[in-house]
Amino acid sequence: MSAIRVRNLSKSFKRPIRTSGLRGAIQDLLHRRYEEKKAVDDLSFDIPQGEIVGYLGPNGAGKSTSIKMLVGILVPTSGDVTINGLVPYRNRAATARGIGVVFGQRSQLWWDIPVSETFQLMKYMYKIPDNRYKRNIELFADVLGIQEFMHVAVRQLSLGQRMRADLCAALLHNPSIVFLDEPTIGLDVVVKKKIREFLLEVNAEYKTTILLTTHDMQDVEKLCSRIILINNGTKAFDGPLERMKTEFGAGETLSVQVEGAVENWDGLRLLGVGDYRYDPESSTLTVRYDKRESNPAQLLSWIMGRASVVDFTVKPPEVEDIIRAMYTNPARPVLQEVL
Amino acid sequence: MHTVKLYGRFLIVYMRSQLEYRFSFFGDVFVNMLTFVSLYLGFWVLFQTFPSMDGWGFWEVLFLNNLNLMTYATCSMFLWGPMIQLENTVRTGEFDNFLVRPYPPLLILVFRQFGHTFIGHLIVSSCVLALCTYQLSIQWTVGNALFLLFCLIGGILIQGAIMIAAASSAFWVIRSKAVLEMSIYTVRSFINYPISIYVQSIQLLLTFLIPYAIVNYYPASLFFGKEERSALFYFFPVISVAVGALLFLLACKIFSRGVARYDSSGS
Amino acid sequence: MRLYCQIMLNAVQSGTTYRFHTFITTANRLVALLVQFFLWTALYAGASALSVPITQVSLDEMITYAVFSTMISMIVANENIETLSQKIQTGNIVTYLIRPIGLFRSLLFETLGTKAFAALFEIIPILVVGYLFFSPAELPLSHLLRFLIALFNGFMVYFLLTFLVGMSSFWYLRIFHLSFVLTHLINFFSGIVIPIWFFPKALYAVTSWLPFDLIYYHPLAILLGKADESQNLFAFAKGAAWIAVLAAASAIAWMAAKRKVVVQGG
Repeated sequence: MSAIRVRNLSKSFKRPIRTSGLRGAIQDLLHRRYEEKKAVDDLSFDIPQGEIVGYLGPNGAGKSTSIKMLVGILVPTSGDVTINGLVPYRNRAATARGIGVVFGQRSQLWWDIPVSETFQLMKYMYKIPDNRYKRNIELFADVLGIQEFMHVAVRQLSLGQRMRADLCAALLHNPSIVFLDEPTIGLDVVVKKKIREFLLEVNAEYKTTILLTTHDMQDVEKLCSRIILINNGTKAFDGPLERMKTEFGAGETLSVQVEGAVENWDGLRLLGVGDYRYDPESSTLTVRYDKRESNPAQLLSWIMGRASVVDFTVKPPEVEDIIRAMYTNPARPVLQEVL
Repeated sequence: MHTVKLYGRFLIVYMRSQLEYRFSFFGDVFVNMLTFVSLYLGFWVLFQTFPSMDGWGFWEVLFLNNLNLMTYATCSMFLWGPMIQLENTVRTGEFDNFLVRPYPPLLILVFRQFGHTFIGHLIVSSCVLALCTYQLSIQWTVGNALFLLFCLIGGILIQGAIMIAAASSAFWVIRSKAVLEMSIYTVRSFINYPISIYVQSIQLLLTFLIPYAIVNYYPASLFFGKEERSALFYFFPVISVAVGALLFLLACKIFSRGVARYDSSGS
Repeated sequence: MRLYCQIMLNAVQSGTTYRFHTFITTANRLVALLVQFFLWTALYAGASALSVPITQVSLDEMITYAVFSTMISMIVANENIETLSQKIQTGNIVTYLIRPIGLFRSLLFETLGTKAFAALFEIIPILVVGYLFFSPAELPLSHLLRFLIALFNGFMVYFLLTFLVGMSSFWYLRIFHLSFVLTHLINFFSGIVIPIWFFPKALYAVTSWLPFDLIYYHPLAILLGKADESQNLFAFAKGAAWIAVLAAASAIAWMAAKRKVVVQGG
């Protein structure tokens, strides 16, 4: 039995149509019209226990909406979802016992009391046995370094400290599934690293399933073995991270440092490259190209013919670029496969 | 019950941490006491000139207000904060947090906070009760004490029910805070005075539609024998608690209905 | 001058977006008026039943008092404490440091603009409702000029008081403490519900030194023809004095606040 099971999940919202102008306002008052907006459309996937999945997609793609259906906040318009065998929106309390949720900007903690007291209250609320509680607190202290602010009231914590505390709170009762919505947003590099280490540690020790929503590509690289990409409410990609890179990672970047001023580089267009930028301050020309279409050696020799080259680098695609390409032009890679 | 003990633990910790900020804590409490001092002083001034308020004397009117104050403060200690913030909580989507816990969301809302500022109200009302006892020579027989206790319980339940039901409008309308504030401030201001001064329709509204009158007017008038101390005196406290419990359950039901409709539109 | 007019116009326009809020406030005021109507009726009935004469003012006059008190409330009341404390808490107040006109004048004209809006949409309905349902007494129009001066005094006193309380947000976080205290001082000492005629001697003495009765009691007394010339003179003098004092305090507060912001960076 998989931890998360989703079948043909759909969610539509009815939004009132706002007609502009005074006459429109009166019309709306008398006769309310609604439009149906399909936020999630026929989503299906299975996530087995212990997997760390990157749940990606542009803003407004239906990520948050689908996650909210998974944790029981929203009721689906159609389709099925089970979490640990339970239907979440019908068994909220029972489902809640088995999951942990961290919504990036909003804290789950008691606001006015010290962190340690919040953990004690959660221990009592989730009925966590003493030895397990102690072991978890030790683990959290070890990896996340929370002991430095255990006695501070939650409302006085910095964002990084609060995120760490929220993570601990979500994992204190050893849930089998954890939903993380932008857990590293707004945090500094050191804290982000700690959090990633922490998540890997928890996953290794307890086989916790992690569904992670993020825009931070480092998170994706370091943590996720599988990627599910949501675009326009549907699943655009579902597979291992590596496959995503090989299938869609055809975009490379050539950075050339030149000497002497050049008027324009529009000749590059004739070579089939549309995306290039020249920075006069650093005298660097940055060229993005599809390696299936353009040859970097050809590009470089053309450039050398027009300017004096000081240095150059060729960079493989960033995960961010891959995903951006998938957001904007998902059909293209598939076409290439066919050809 | 487990949930009660959980909240009890929170309260202990909360009060301990609040008392660390001694100045603001006592400031909060003191300032809230001022509300009633100005109201009661106002009554005092009126009664210097006017002999009676529809047959009610100064101390009787104070007793009447006190019932309102005591029940409102007790219920507000637990409910006021989350209910006032509900409009915002629902609008920003913060309400999501309260749906992923192993307890019903209304309970979680209550559990996270405590309105310590209302302690000031309770101090004032206790003092006023003592003063009224002295000035009106009230005998606290078992019968009287039980009467008052039950009416207070009923009153607390009714105040709570109105608070929850009005706040629940957050799941249906945008400006729910206004609905709530009208209910707990504007409409409730009617019962600062004995409702016999109002026209029949208002009295009916306050008895059967938004039953604030059951909180203070009927108990007080029965207590002082404004109406015949008939069998009603013995039945009323039970009616009060029964109506209160019923309305409270109804309000919770309305709240759950609202939750079912929650769209979580905050991104 | 054009700048000030523009500010007022902006306030009037934004008034339309606060439509719902003003609707609620008006509804609240109407309810309060209704309650007062029944209250005074009952009090006077009780007095006449027990043959106690009320010499200071008649029931009809009290009802007129209540209706016009509500009207004054619409003209005088403002939300500046909240506005100011929010601007200070968020740090937006710094924009006033670099504007060509100061915070004080800006706020004053914004308030006047909002009140002009109120005059149209709130006061007229109240007066209509008041006259239809409560039949208040007739008013001697000869006192209109004095009434307007007193009204202006009251408006300025309240504006200055709220400005000062709002300013204290720079130093004191729990602004609602001070706001509460002000509200209750006004509720009791201004004559908003209970006119000063009913106050016992000792309280009367206290009230005459405080500025609060300038906001409601004095204009209403003029309106009902119950203020003689000596009382008027005293009130106008007191008004001038208090406005001067409060204005000076406001200026000092603003200077101190500016220094605090510049030094500490808000």
